[in-house]
This record gives sequence, C-alpha cells and structure tokens, in this order.
Amino acid sequence: MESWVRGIDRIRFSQGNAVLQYIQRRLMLSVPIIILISVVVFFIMHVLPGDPVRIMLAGQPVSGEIVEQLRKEYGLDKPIYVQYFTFAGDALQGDLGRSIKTKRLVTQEIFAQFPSTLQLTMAAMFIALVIGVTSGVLAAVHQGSWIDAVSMFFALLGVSMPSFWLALLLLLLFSFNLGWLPAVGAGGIKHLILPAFVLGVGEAAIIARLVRASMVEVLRQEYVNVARAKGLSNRVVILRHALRNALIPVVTVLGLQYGYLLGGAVIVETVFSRPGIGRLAVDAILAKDYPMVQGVVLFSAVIYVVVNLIVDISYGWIDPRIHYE
Amino acid sequence: MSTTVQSSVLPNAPIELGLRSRPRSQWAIAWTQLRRNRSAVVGGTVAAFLIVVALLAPWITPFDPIQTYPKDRLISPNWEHPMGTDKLGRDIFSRVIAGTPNSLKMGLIAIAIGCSAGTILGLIAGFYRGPVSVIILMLADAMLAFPSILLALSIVAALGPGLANTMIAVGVSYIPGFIRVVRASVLSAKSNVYVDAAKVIGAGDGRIMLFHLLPNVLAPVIVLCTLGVAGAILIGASLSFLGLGAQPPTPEWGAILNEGRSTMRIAPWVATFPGIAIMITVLAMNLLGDGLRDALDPRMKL
Repeated sequence: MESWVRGIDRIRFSQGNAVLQYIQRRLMLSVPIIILISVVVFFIMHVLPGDPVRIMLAGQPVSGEIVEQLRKEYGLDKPIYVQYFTFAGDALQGDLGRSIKTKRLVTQEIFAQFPSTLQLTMAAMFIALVIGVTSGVLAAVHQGSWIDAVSMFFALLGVSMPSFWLALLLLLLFSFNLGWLPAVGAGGIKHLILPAFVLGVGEAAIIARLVRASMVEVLRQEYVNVARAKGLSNRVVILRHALRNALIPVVTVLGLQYGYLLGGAVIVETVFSRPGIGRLAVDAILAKDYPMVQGVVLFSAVIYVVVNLIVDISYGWIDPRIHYE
Repeated sequence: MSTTVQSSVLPNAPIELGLRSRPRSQWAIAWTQLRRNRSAVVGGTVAAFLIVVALLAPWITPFDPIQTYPKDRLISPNWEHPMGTDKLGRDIFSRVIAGTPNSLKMGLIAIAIGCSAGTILGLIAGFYRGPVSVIILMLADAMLAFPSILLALSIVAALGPGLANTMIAVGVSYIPGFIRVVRASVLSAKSNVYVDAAKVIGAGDGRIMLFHLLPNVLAPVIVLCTLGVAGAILIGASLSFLGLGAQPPTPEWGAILNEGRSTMRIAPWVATFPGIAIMITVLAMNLLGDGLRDALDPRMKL
C-alpha cells in the first residue's frame, strides 16, 4: 500500500551537503505528520463517544460529584482545543502524563519496556528476511516448478495464519511437550526464539512474495543475460547480479513493514507474557488506563515514522542510482 | 479502459464486435478469467460454504454452544464431540459453527464501514483540489502511520470492549487504505474524455463522481475489499483473543481460542480447532482476492 513515506522524490546528487539538505527536508516533512498523529490519538481518546472518565470508572457506582472532580483533575472540563494544546504541549516536553493504574510517568514506563519490544521486532525482522529472501529467490529461480508452488503456498499460509494460534501450537510443542524452550517471560536468546519466529513468519511470507515478484522481473533483464553469457556460474549470476537488484524494492517496504511488526508485537508479547510496549498497551486498555494507552499508541506511531525516515535516508546508500538533491 | 482491454483480449475483436449487439463488458471478461483460476475457485467455493454455514448456524449445531455441561468437561475429540469439549463441557464443534457468523460478520461489517467511508472520502479527495482534499489526505496519512492493529486497539479502548465496537474499530482502521487506493484511481480516471463529456452536458459533481468515476474505480475497490475481509477477520479475531472483542460466552473464533489458552497443555484441541477455522477462512478470502486481482487487473499494486 502506498503511503506518505513513499513520496520520495527521485533526487540527483550535486554537492556534498546535498544529503544533509535532503535529511533536513525529510525531517521537516515528518513534523506535520507527527502533529497529525497526535491529533488522531487525541481525537480517538477524547472525541469518540465514550467518556474517558466513565471508561476509567468502568461501571463502578460513583456519584456525579466524583466524576466532576476526576474530570477537573484530568483537565477534561476545559474546551476540547484547550485540552489538545495542553496534551500536545506536554507531549513535546516529553510528558505524556501519569498512568492511572501505577501512578508512574507514562514515558518512564514506555522507556522501560521499549528495549524489549525493539529486541523482539529486530529479531523477527531478521528471521523474516532470512526465510523470506531465501524462499522468494528459490521460488523465482525455479519459477513454475514445485519449489515455486510450495514456497508460495507457504507464503499464503503465513499471511493467513493467526499468529496467536501459531504461538500456542509452538508453545505446546517446544515448551510443554519437548521442553526445549521456555514458555513465558524474557531473558536470554532462548526466550527470544519462539516469539521472534512467530512474529517473523507472517512478515517472511510478505517478503517472500515480494522477493519472488521482484526477482522474476530482474531475471528477465539484459544484464542478467550478459552475466550468463560471460560464462559466470548460476550461483554468481543469481546472488551477485540478480539478487542485489531484486532486493531494492524489499528495502523500501521494510520500513512500512516495521509497523506490521510493532502491531504484531501486541499479540506476541501477550501470548508469551513478554515485557514490551505491546503488552503495556493491552494491559492499559484492559485496566482502562487511558493516559497510558494514549502514550503507547502515540509513541508507536512516532517510532514508525522515525523508522521510515531512516529507511528513506538510507535508501540512496543502498541504491547508488538514487541521488539526493 | 474497457475498450482497449476487450480488443487485446479477444483475438478477432473487430469481427466479434461487429457480430455482437453489445460487446462483452470488462466484468464478463474478468468473470471468465476468474473461473479459470483454480485457486480462486477453491477460495470462492470455501467462502460460499462458510457463508452457508454462518446462515444455518443456529440450526446445525449438534449441541447448545453456550449451555455448560460441567460433567462433560475437557473430553478429547471423539465421535460425539469431533472437536472435543472445553473446560465448561461445551462442544467445541458447536461453538466453532456458532462462531462462524460472528467471525464472518466481523470481517464483512468492518470492511463495509472501511470501504464505504474510504471510497466516499477517496472520491472527494481525488475529484476536488483544495483544502478539503488536503485535509482528507493528511488525515489518511496520519492514520496510516499507525500499525492497523494498534489503531483498532486504541479505538476499542475509547469505545469499550465488545463485538460491535471491535467491528467499528477495525472498520475505521481500514478507511485510510481505501482513501489512498480510490483517490489514486480517481486521479487517473478523471483525465478520461468521458468525464469532460459529462461535464459538457451539464452533469453535476455528484453525478460525475457517482456514475462516471465510481464505476471506473470499482475494480481495485473490489479487490481491496476481498483482501480486506481476510485481514479484518484476522485483526478482529486477534482483538477477541486479547479479550477486547466478543465477550464470553459469545462464540467467536478468536474468543474461543482465548478460552482454550489456559487449558492448552492438557486440552490443546480447544484452541486448535478455532485457529484452523480462522486460517481456512482467511486463506480462502486471500485466494479469492488474489484471483480477483489477477482477473481484474494484474498490474494492480495492492
């Protein structure tokens, strides 16, 4: 799906500081997006039918007085735009409020949990790349054969499989029955294998389909014929000449796909009882802790924007034909 | 667009066209292609079967899906209970059948919301230039910056958990995708001569959008809807699994799976079968969606 991050202009390199200028411009373009993200988060929490105070109280019988008092405490009695500017102003200063449940600073909680999510998503991305690129290349090279059919069937299965279901089945096999891997919690690499695999499988499926399509295209190019005509081995032609070019579109979507992983982390962290911002969000929703929900969602969206920014900037380094202007 | 497609598809198009009073439409051609696509036919058949099961669900469950039978708890699959029973003694097979309408509705209603709102906004954003379009697009972009499950999650947080709220939440999270796709198609359709012609004969903006542009952006919308239903069922089931969607004892696949979590070690069948149901459904919709895309426009980037 096309997104604003794809709005990369094809740019030409002229001077040494052109890259810096490009980075500067991309940073500037991110500002309105981040402002809008904050508007959307705020809108969801405050304007949708569903009074935050009522949600917080969740059916507890309390007097109207207490409701009014809570409303005042959280500034919910002020006009909506005043509330937004207070929220945005605080957020800019790194203050996302306090959790209703734990009374700790939302930012503090997020920063405590995020490293775990980062580790999980990066490991999942790695697994997804290894499985996705391998099966995509194999499918493209053996286009039309059973290898192609099998890997594309698994790719389709990968995107159709509920991750929480796969997680439970793998837990049953590797933790309960075989006892090879720990079922829950976080810690060493053993704790990371199952969650990262579950999160990575769906992603691997998407990458496999993309690599296959891109590789099929590249294998038809003249320079691949030239490489073959020079007498290079099949292996060299595929790995050095074709794959490098086929991977360019994959890199472009990696940033977009990071959002998919962040979303998937919500489920994976919950199933494996792993610490992380995804589980933080689910726990916060179940506890009606709305400043926390707001904070985590805003933080995740900003992380997503930043990741895409990094991908955009590194794009020129990956594909030397693209120049900055 | 339709005329060029026809002449390239039909080898002896001029003669054909001369003989026929009415040339085959783009849709008729797509239909023929779809029927030739084996995996799409399989997907479509499975989807149709699931819809029939969903419609007949109240009458075909062998046991009451909600009534508990404590003495029958955690029976492993056998002839009487082909998918076993859960910790409350309920027949999983009956619960999976009874969950079919809920899970399918989750996908269909969510996409109905996302598709209708997204298509209208996309038509407006593509047709008009000006501040309204810019605002629509910027909001769509901002919404796309949220991982869709997180967006749905936060909307559920605001509305409160429940099956209906989950459908709304998932539907809203699909709006920006539709806006983007419809707008892109409108931008290219807008430059067609028939749009100018409609303007010249005095058609209003609404008329042009509805009768001239909408039919021409329908192909990608249909594909996006089909693939979207697959995704929405998955996200809806995920939310139910997290305890935010269907509330117990309502049978819904994600919710049944969640109920089976605590007994996974001793009674894995409780969680296994609803998961298979989700996978088969999503797989069928994906196969159908892929087939539709290939039939309608293989170059479509969805």
